Parts: sequence; C-alpha cells; structure tokens
Amino acid sequence: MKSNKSFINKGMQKQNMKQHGWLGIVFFIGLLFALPLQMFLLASDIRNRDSLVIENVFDIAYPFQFILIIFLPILAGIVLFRYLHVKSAVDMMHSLPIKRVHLYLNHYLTGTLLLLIPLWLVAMLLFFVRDISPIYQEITNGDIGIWTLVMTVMVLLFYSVSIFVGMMTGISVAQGILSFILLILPTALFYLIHANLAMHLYGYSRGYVMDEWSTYLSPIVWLSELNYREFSYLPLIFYALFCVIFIVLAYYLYQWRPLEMSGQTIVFEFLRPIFKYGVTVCTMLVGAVYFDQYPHDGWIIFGLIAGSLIGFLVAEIILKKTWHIWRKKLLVQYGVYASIILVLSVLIKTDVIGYETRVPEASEIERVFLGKDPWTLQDEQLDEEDIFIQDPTFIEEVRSFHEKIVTKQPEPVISNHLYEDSYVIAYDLENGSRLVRQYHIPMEESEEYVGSLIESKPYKTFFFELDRWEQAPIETITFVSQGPESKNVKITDENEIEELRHILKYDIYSLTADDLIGGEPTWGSIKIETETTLKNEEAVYMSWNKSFAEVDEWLRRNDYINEARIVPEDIDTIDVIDVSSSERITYPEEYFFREKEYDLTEIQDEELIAEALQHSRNFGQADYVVRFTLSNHGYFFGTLRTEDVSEAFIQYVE
Amino acid sequence: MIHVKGVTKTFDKEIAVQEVTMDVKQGSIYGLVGSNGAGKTTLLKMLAGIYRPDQGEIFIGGEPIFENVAMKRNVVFISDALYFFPQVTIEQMASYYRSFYPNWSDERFETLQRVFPLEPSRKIHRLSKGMQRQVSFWLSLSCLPSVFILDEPMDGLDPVMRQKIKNLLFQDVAERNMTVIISSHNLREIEDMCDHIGMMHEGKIILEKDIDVLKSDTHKVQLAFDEEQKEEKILNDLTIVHKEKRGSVLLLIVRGEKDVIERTIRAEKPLVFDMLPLTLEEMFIYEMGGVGYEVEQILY
Repeated sequence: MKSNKSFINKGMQKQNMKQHGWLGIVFFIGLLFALPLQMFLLASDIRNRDSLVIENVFDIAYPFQFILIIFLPILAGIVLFRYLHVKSAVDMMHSLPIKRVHLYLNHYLTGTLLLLIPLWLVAMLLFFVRDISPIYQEITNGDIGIWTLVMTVMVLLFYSVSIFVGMMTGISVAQGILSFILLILPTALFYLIHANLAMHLYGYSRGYVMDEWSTYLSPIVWLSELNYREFSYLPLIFYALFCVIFIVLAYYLYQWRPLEMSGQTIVFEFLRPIFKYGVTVCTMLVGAVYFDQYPHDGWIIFGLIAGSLIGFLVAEIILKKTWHIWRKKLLVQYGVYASIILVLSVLIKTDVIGYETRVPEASEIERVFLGKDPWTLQDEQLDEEDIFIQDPTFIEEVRSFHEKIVTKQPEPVISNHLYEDSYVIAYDLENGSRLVRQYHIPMEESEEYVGSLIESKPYKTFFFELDRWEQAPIETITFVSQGPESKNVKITDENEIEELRHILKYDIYSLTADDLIGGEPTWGSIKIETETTLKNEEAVYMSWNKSFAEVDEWLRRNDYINEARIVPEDIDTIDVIDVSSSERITYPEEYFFREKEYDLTEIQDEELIAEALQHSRNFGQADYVVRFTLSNHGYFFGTLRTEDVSEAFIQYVE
Repeated sequence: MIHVKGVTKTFDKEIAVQEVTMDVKQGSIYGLVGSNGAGKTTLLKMLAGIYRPDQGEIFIGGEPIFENVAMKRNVVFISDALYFFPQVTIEQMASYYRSFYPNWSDERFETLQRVFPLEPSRKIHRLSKGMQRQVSFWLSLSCLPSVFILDEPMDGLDPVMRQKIKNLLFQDVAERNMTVIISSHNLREIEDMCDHIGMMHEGKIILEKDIDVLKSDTHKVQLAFDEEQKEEKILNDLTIVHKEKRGSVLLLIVRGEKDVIERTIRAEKPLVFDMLPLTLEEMFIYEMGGVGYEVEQILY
C-alpha cells in the first residue's frame, strides 16, 4: 500500500467525498431496497411461499439489482470526471500542480470507494438477513461470495467503461449514452452482421450462433441473464481483464486528451471518422434487418441506403452539434462510403470466398449432423456424440444432398415458412473446425433433395431419439391423441412395453420420406419415459405418425385403440370440398367458413370415412379439404391428396 | 524566467496561437493585449501548463512547464472564467489550495483579509461576480507564487478594488521578485502597471516593447514658430515619427532623448512649446508606423 499512498491527495479526496458522496448514499439506499428490505418483505409475505424458489442472491428482485448495478457506476463515471467536461473546471483543475495521472487516480479512487463500500456493506448485511426466514436457506456463504464478486467486477467494469468513454468525449450526456452503446454494441453488432450475412449468403444459418459467446460479448447482456443462467467464472475473468484494459486505456487517453476540446462530442480528431462511419455502418445494418420482413430484395436495399444515410447525417449532426450541416464535402464522403459498401456487397454476392458452394470432401469430414433446426446443435443438454453421425455412407449421402442443393439453389418460400422444410447440415471436420449450413427447401421439393437421407437409419435414429430409449429401461409409453377429443393411453406393463419397443422401432424404420415431409399425417404424439428421463431429463416425445401400422395393429389387438386416438367409429359424417387445384392449404377450416361458395359432399359411408381419417393431414398441398364431425358434435379439419385415397373415394366425391 | 519558443496551437484546424516567441524576465509585469480572439487566453493557458502546445517549447525557470508539478507549484493561474466547487466556502477552498501549493501561507491569507472584506466562512457561490474575483486573488496570492498568470483579471472589479489589487501585485513584485503576466483587451486598463507589453493579433505577437524604453524614447511636442525656416530646420534636425499641423500649431511625435529634443527646439526660440505626456496607446500607434492602421483596429 505504500506505493499507493504517494498518489492519494488528501485535499482532493476530502473535496471529492464532500462533493460526490451522495452517490455512495444513493447506491447504498438503492441496494438496501433491492436486497435486505426485499428479503424482509418476501419473508413476511406468505401468499407466494410455495411458488417461491430462491437458490441464490440473484433470485431476489433481480431487475432492481440489475438497474442499480448498471446505472450507478456509469453515473459515478460521469459525475467524478465531470471536471473534464466543464471548461472552467478543466482550467482550474489542470492549472493545479498535480499530474494528470494523479488527478485520474484520485478521482478513480473516490468513485471506487463510493461504489464498493455500499456494495460490500450490503453484502455483509446479507449474511444476517438470510437467517430471518427458512426460504433463504439455500443461499450459502458461497452464493453470497459469488454475488459479491460478480457485482464488484461488474460495478468496476461499468465504472471504468464510463470513464474510458468520458476521456473521449467532451459532453457528459454523450458520455452516458455512448457508455451504454459501447457496453451493448459487441453483441448487437454481432447479431446485426449475422442477420445481414444470412440475407445475402445462400446457406448461411441465421439461427446458428457460435455458442453463448455472443451474449458474453456484452457484459450487460450477460448480467441480464444471470438470474436464470448457470454462472461460470470464465466470462467474469474476461470482464475483470477488460476492466483493467479500460483503466489503462483511459489513462493513456487522458495523457493525450486535448483539454481545450471540452464541449465537443468527440475530443480526439482521429476518433471522429471512426465514430461517424461506425454509426453509419450500424444504422445501415439495422435498416436492412428492419426491412428484411418484406419479401423483396428492393426493400432490403432501400433499408441499407436509408439506414446508412440517416446514420451518416445523424453522426454528423452530433459531431457538429447543429443540424445545419450541409456541405458539398458530405456528398463526397458519403459517396466514398457507398462505393466501398457496394464493392463489399458485390464481393459477398459473387461469393468470392466460395462460401455458398463449399462442400467439404469426404476425407475431410469426421462426422456429420443433419437436423431440422440449428438449436439442436447449441443445446447444452444434448451430447454431441448422440447428434452427430459418423457412418460413412450417411456422410456421403449428406454430401451429395449438399452438392445437389448448392448447384440447384432452390428458392426458399418467403411468404409462408410452413411450406418449407429447413435442413441444417453441420460437418465436424478433421481439422477441428465446424462447417454449418442451413437450407430452406419448398415442401414439394423436399423428397427430391432429402428423400433417401431422411429414410436412412442414422437419420431416423437421431430424429426419433432412438438412442435414448432403444436400449434404456422404459418406464411408460403414453399415446396422446390430438384434436377435439382428448384421449390418451398410458402403457406401464413391462411385457407390453417390451413388445411396443420393438414394434415402434420397426414402424419408425419403415417410414417413407413422404410420411416425414411437410404436414406429416399424425394421430398425436407418443411420450416415452425411461429411468433416466424420470430423474432429470425431459421425456422423449415424437409424432405419432399415421403410418405406424404395426403400432396401430398392436393397439387394436390389445383393445387400447379406442382410448388412444380418434377412430372411424367416433365419426358421424365427413364433409369434403374438392379444391382440386393442388394448392398449398394452411388452414383447411377456412374453406368451411365460406362453405356456401363450394360444393360440399357429405359422406357417411364407414369405409370411406376410415380412409379419409387414415390419410388426412393437418395442412399442406392437397386436393380435398375435409371436415370430420364427431358423434358428439365436435369437429376437426384435415386435408387429403388424390394419391392417398382410393378410386372409390374420388368417384364418390365427384 | 519565462521563455516561449515558436509555440503554435491549433483548435480544430483553426490556428489560435502561431509561432509565438517571447521572453519575460523575472520580477517584471508583462501585459498581453489584443482584441477578442487574438489568442491571449490560449497562450496563457499554455504558459500555465494546462494546454499542451502543438509545436514549440515553453520554459518557466528553465524547465518545461507542461505536466511539471515541481514548477507548477510556483505558478498560479487565474482564468477569465472562475471555477469553484459547488457549495464551497472560502475557507474550504483555501484548504484545498493549501493541499496543493507547498508555499501556501496562512499568515498571508489572514493578512489579506484586511484587503478583501469578506468572511472566510461564506459560500463562494452566493457572492457577486466581483467578489468571486476578489476571492480568486485572495487565494492565489496566499499561494505566494513566483509566477502569477492572470487572464482578464480586472473584469467586474470596482475601481477601488482594482487599485488595491494593483498595489498588492506591485508589492509582491517588489518584495518577492514575483513575475506577472496579465492579459487584457484594453490597453488603458493595464498600461499603468506593466513594464513590458506584448500585442497579439490573429495568433501572433505583432509587437513587443519595454515600456520604460518606449516612454523615455518617444515624446509629443506642440510647437509654433514665427518663421517657416525655423520650422523646417526643426523638422530636419529631429527624428519625426508623426507630424500634424493645426493652424499655426505644429504637433510632433519625436523620437530621441528628452533633453536633446528640448535643447534643439529652445534654440530656435519657439512662440509656443509644450512637451506633453504620451499615452501608451498613442505610443503604439505612432511607433507602429506602417502597421499603424492594424494597431488602431486592435486598440480601443
């Protein structure tokens, strides 16, 4: 501590405390309200006692804590270094015989004390308040320790960032705003770039983000998730490191700060173009994302232009602090910017790096993943060993599917995502990297591209999660019916389960691509609970495909069928409308809302009803829409294709 | 004491101070005059070690002043815009200065209370603008600076207080050999206290003079002769800077020693002969000759 003593100026500390001490008091009172007081209130409130789960300090009034922890440190940075932004104070403070580094350290120290003393006092109070009620019994000393550590690092980080920004700007308001922007920018920019690449690169997966990494980029985002996310030390260590980096950077900026520039938005000349074009790029990306909701490239280009232009002008207005900014030079500057962006977009569009066409060689591939969505890849609960497939034949099939799709590049169905099948391919390559692509294929073309793939054993094993129940000791199998009649059957008998296990597996392996694509025909869902899932995992859920013929047969044989799903006997009549245009149908019921416009065919023949029920789908390309009316007057709707029904059915409807 | 060499400072591509070179001797009072925006304040802030010069060097007592704590302990700067901490009293502000300036003298602080009729326990923000100026002088002089830099210090002070402060400055210059640099846009305000004057215009020092030399060297004379020849002889014998004729009376600004001029003129037996005091302003205007027009623009 001896070396520290030399920089502490008692007169300055005294004055700072006198002038800015209120910050510490406000912070302390705020934290008192957010934690100890809140704990008393929670403990005395018996109404929600049962639903209340408090496992650590982050579970107590977290939004309130969160706001305090962000605002107060940034405010402290503004208040303590305000002497850099007020012209007369700048002159007075810097005419004093003290080096800038000591001015900096003394003010930094005062702020640190004003922030950390209240924080640590409240942390100490937590040890006592915890004992007032058994609802806090799960909060251990370690929990309080972690909370204190996290909050200390975050408070110092936000405070340091605020000061770092304060060194670059000459206006306190700008310091506050820019600090927030800087703290959120990394994550925001990451997503913006991501979303923009997805618009322009065929096969770029919008949903696939390099693990949690991107939320770690912004400490504010990370902190906002702490009350429901698993805590880990690694990001905290990085934040502590960044805190030190900001302290050092702020010091160097202070050394070179042109004091006469107080009052300017950005005091360093070299930073002004960075600020200006930085804002322009960000608003440009926002503009594109905003107009991405309209299915037309023209709108996206409009968004890019409007966004960049607005950002460019606003940045200029902020820098010049007047809206009378018109100069011919601006036109030239924007022109240069636009040309650079144009060249960049052409490079991306023409795919100079071969992103869109790259399909790795079989020899490069270690294992492969084929799924419907990118989330599966990022689900921490799943074991990668289970979702990736190493089978060389399967890898080869995925490769040929991939090659076919990058050559043909089918246009995605923009207007309605229901009508496209999304496929995510991920290769783990021998060199340790991972290549991820996502493709949206119109439902009707799916079979052509992925038919053989999704019929393959490895894919079905993955898709129906066979490895979770094929060998495992199954406890229950439940059939749940969809539709107006809530029916379900739970099988618990060991022998029956053993039979079902094999039958179900057989049926799954027998499914054809047609059974799996688009609005696949289902009876409902099947839920399988094993010993392990009952303990700590989610049960296995799968669609109960109408093509599970053996399962159907088994249910019938064992007299479960009537309890498990809708059977033809439940149905009184069906009404069929021939839409015969083979168009995509999202909501078959819509046709019946306007039933007078169509020719309805009523069918009461049991065999035809059974046929319709067996093949009806929920939505998709169809020739008929059907209303099923139950004997209890309930009803539901479906679609039918001519290829699925018999000649007799077609003739009857005609 | 103060040595400025080729100093330039630019604000946002606008040159505020351009290649200024100047020297101020210890124990002198240097007056910096110039119109608004001439660069006086910027130059002074560089002298006080607040701004870093873009080019050139500033030495005080032989050492560069920027970020030089040891040297800055002897330099006190009073800005044209005063700053005091919010809600602070004179006493508290004094104790703040005491913690920075090792030469601080409590004795001096108490002595000066006789000059400044203010209660040390009063809050500075409640005081009038002029009173706040007094406080700044009170605090600064208690630091016993060896270099005292003042930017437009007389603004808002009443004539009595101005005189009191001038006397205090003279006293410190005489007793402690203090060096003073004082700026003003008004030459008349500071002409009676400076021994050196530097005139700034558009960032440059366009004129720098020792006032004693100037005063002993330039004279204003009113003359009338009965004969033309006498007049012409006089005009030929003396170094005339400026000539004006009002009726038969000749008004001359003459350079040279006072005795010599007087002797030369008396020899021709003038009908009227007066030697008049020259204001600093007139001296500058006449002295400048060619640039005179510019000077007239600067002074008012």
